[in-house]
Amino acid sequence: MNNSIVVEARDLTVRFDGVVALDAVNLKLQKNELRCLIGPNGAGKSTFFKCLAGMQIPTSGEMIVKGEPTTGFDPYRIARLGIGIKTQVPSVMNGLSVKENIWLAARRTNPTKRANKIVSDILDRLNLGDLASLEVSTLAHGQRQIVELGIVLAGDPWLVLLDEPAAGLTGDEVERMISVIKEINDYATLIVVEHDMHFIRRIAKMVTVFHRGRVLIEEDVDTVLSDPVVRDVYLGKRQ
Amino acid sequence: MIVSGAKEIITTVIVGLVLAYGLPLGIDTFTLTVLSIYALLGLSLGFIWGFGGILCFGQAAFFGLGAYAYAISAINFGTPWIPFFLAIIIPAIIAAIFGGMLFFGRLNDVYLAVLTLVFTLILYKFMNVTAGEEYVIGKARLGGYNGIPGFETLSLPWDPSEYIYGDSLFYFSFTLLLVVYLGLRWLLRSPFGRVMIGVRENELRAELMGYDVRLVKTAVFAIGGGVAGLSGSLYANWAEIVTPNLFSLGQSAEVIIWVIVGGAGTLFGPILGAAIMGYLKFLLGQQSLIDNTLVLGAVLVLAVLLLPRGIFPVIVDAFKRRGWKRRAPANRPPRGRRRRRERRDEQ
Repeated sequence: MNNSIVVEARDLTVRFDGVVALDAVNLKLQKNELRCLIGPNGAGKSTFFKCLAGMQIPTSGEMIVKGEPTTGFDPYRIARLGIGIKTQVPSVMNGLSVKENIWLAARRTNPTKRANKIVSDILDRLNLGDLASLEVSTLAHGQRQIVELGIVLAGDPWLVLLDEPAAGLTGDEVERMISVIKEINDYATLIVVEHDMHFIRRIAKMVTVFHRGRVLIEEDVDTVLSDPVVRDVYLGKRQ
Repeated sequence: MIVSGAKEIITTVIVGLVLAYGLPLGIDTFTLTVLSIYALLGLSLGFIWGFGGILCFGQAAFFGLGAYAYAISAINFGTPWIPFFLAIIIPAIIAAIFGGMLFFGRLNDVYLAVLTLVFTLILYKFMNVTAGEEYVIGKARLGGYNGIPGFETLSLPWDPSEYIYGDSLFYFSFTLLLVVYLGLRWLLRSPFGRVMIGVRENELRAELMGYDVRLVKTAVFAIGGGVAGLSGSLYANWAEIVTPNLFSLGQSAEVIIWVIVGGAGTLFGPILGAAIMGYLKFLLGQQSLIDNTLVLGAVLVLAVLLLPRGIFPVIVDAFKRRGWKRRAPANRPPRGRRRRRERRDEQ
């Protein structure tokens, strides 16, 4: 059973000067799980995400991916483990075309011809064909989110980390995002950090709630969403 | 891709031939040689800054190192061609080591600019105090502020008594400029070049794709150092003396001005900028009415205010409006509109 744990955080702590952003967080993720991380602003979910993505070095504690300690890895080493990362603010190459963006991601692990093939597959899959030759800077926020997802998919990751994938999307785009996430989950493990409760309801199975740098509760989605403590924390009522 | 590549080579060669025959009709080849050399130096900074996103305030360091490497090894070997290649390799290696320290230390932006500036100033100060007899490399005395004169200059490989000077040095330098230009164009089209532009556009994303940004930038910096070194070695052959002034602050600043005026984010812009500003400086040097740094400064200010993208992109746009086909977006300058957009994203 232990083999199926692909990500494990052990007593992960991050302090910014006096502020404790993460306070000895322990978290385990099974293979092929779709885990949602939720919590109010400043709860530590994004900090946790950054620690996993190599964008934040924890003050103490350990991050273990497939049995290998990855604490303090640079982002490129994390990416080379086969982990695809979508950041909160879309991190795309603005001056390049949609196609070029996805090509660069595909080309790292593939020879040119195969990379070209992967790019056209992904453009089809995400319905980006019409935008392929446009410069990313000319696209709307939601489209940029989709492009970034395309970049992530081009790396053929087994673990996908998505930070607020639904932010700024239109209704149609949210539907497309949901179907893509479910599709990815058929073959890959996912961690999704999200604020939007409707979105969570649509995709979530297991949910981890962060609050004040700690894990408040970790249950299946229905239990979590009907939990009175979670509601209080989330809506900031009756402290 | 291959077709347009061939077309580009043919266009460049034709334009090069026209210039090589046309320019000497109006300007003497002695001046044209140094303009070609400056163009190479401008090209080296245009490459690392415009396409690698690395603003180096001390590009003159590698120019000077190239010149010194040539002079010192020419005295030691007594032949010109081994030094000629050493003058490319040594600056490239030094750039790789120095750049590696900066990029692996994750230094960026202003820190990078300041350190490269300090690097060239250290070389400048050091070379100035090497007048004593104890400062010797092999048979070559470094000579302090007097520099190193009297080294073997380039000659035909099959006939060492036939020196390459005057007209032939111009054609030689000009040909090298074309070759390096085409080489860099080719590099930018290659997967490495596309990754490099990706790094310029968004370092974090390049990292998240799994590229080691530090390594890419170090390689780009080393290539820039090599080209600047080549330019320095040609300069040594043209001037037949190398002095610490090659490392001076003024020299470094001038290169940046060439790139800005010509157009950062293009390869041809810096060549044009170097040629125009270099020639302007040469003309101003012939009169004593007005201080030439004042005029060059004014040109820079005007260029930044009126043509913030530089001369070359403006010319290209003018032609485009007349129905030329759209150029690849990869050639866009790393300034202006994009900055604003990034700021918008951060909010």
